[in-house]
Amino acid sequence: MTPDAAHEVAPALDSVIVREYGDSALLVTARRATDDEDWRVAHHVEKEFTRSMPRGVLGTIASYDAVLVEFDCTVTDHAAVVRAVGEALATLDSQQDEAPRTFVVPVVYGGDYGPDLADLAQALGITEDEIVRLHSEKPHLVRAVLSPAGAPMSDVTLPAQVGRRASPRVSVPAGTVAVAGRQATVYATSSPGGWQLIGRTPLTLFDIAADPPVRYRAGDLLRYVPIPAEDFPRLVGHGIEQADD
Amino acid sequence: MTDSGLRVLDPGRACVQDIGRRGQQQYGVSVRGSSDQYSSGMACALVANDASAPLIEATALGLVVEAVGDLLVAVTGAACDVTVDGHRVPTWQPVPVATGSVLRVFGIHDGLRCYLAVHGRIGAPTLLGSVTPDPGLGFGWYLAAGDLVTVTSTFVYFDHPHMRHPLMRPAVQVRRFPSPALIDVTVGPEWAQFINPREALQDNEFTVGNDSDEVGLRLTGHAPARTDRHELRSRGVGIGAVEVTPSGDVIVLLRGRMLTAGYPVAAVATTSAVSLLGQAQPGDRVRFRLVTTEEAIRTARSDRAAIEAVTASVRSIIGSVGVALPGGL
Repeated sequence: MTPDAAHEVAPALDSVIVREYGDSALLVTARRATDDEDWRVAHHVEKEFTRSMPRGVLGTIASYDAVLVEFDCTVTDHAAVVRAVGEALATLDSQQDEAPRTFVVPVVYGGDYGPDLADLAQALGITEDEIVRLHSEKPHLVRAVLSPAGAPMSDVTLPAQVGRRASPRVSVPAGTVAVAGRQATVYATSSPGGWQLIGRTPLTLFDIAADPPVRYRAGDLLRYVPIPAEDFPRLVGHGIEQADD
Repeated sequence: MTDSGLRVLDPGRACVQDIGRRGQQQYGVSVRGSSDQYSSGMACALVANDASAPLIEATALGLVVEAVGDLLVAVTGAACDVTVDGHRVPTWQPVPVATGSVLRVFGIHDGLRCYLAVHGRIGAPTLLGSVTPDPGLGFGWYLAAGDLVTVTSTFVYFDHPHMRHPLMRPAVQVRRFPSPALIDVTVGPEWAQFINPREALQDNEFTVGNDSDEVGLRLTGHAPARTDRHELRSRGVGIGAVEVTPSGDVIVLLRGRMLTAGYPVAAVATTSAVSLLGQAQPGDRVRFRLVTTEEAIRTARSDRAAIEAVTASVRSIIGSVGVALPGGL
C-alpha cells in the first residue's frame, strides 16, 4: 500500500470502519445508527478479544463508539487481526448482554470535596442541590473504564454542556467525582485534571493490593448516593460494594 | 544460586524498569515500561536474560553502583561512559564485574536514557505483573543511595582467555540518538483531514518542548493544518500517535500515555521510531519521514530478530563456559 492511499482496511465489514493505526494497531469505529448501538459494537469486540485473545494481540481499548486493538507486529499483522475483528462481529447479534451489576458510591457533594459545584450551579443557572439530584437520581451506566487508572466514564444529563476548566488542576485527589461535556467520572487515582469537581467519595475505587484492582467494568451500573460530610472519615479506605438488588 | 546484587552509591535519576504492564487496559492502566525498548531489549539480550526481565533505567544523570557478588552486566541506550573501578569498559557488550567493584555510568549524551541489565533475576515488587513505575498509581522503585537491588544469579566470575575471544563480543547493532532524530511514521486515522500532511510533516523540523516526558513529547514547529473542524469523540489512542492540537502543537504519545484522547491523529510513529523518541529530550530536534506500514513492520521485525540473535549468541557463549542460565538451557 502506498502511504497516501486511503487506509480503510476491511470494507467487507459493514457495521464498522477499520483503519490502520500504525504498524501495531487497528482502530475499529462502529457505524450503526445510535450511540447505544455503537457502544455495544465497540464493547462486544473488546469482550470477544478479551475472551479469545488472538495470538499477538496485546489488548484493546474500547471507548464510546470505537475500539483500538493493539498487537505485536513481530508476531501477527493487520490482516490476521482484521479477520479476528470479523469473527468477533459475527457473534454480535446472537449474544445476550450480561446482566449489569450495580455498585454503590457514596459521595459528599460540594464544599471542599467538590470545589467547583457552586460555580457550576451559577453557570448553569440552577441550584447546587439540583446538580446533585441530576447526578445521583439515576444509576450511571459505565461506558468504559479509562485513564486515569480506574476512571468509570458515564453520561450525565445537565441543562447544558459543562465546559472544562480553562487551566487543568495539577493534582485532583483520588475519589473526586467530576463532570465535563455530557460526561461524568470519578478520578479513581490521583491525577492532573481539567474536569469540574463536584464531590468526592471516601471509597477506594482503585486498590493496587486487590485482584482485580477495579471491581466495576463497562456495562455495570454505579449508583451515586449523597452522604453528609461527617460520614466521610469513617468510610475512608473502604472498598466499593455491590448493591444487594 | 548466589544472592548478589547492586548496592546503589549514587542513584542519579534511576528506576527499576521492564517492558511494561501489559494487558491491563481494562482497568485504565497504561503499559508504560522502558522508554527505549530496543536498547532495554538489547541490554537484556547481552546478559542472556529474557526480554521481560527487570533492569535499571538511568535517566540523564548517570548512576554509580557497587557489585555485591560477581555479576555479568551490560549498559546500552544513550551514548555514555562506563567504568569498572576506574577502567573504561565497552557499552553494548557483556561485561563481567567482580564483587566489590564499582560500576560508574556517566556522561550521558546524544540521548536521555541508559539501561543497565544484570544477568539473573532482579528482585523488585511488581504491580499487575510489572515493576514499571506508574506515578499515578503511586508505584515504582526509584533508586536511592544505599538501596540494594538484589539479583538472583548463577553467574560465576570468569576472566579467562575465553572472555577475550572475539566470540564474547557479539555483533550488536548499536543505536545512536543524534539530534535531529529521523522519525518514521505511517499515515494516521485522520490523515485525510489535513492539508498536505506529507509536506507539512516531512519538510519541517520540530523541536521537543519542555513539558515532555514518558507520557508524550510536545513538539513545536509548523503543524499540519486541519480542514475538518468538527470535534472528535474520545477514543483509544495508540503509542506513537502524532496528534495535532487546535492550537497547532504536535504531541507524540509515548508509552505512558492516557488511554483515550480526542485530538485528530495525523500520523503514527513506527514501533522502531517510538524507541528513538524515548531518547528525546527538551531542545532536541525531530524530523518525520513517511513510510509504508509494510516497511514499518519489516523494521520492527528486524529489530526483534537482532535482539534474539544476540540473546542466542550470548547464551551459547556463557553456556559454553559453564554458567547455568535462568530457566536452564
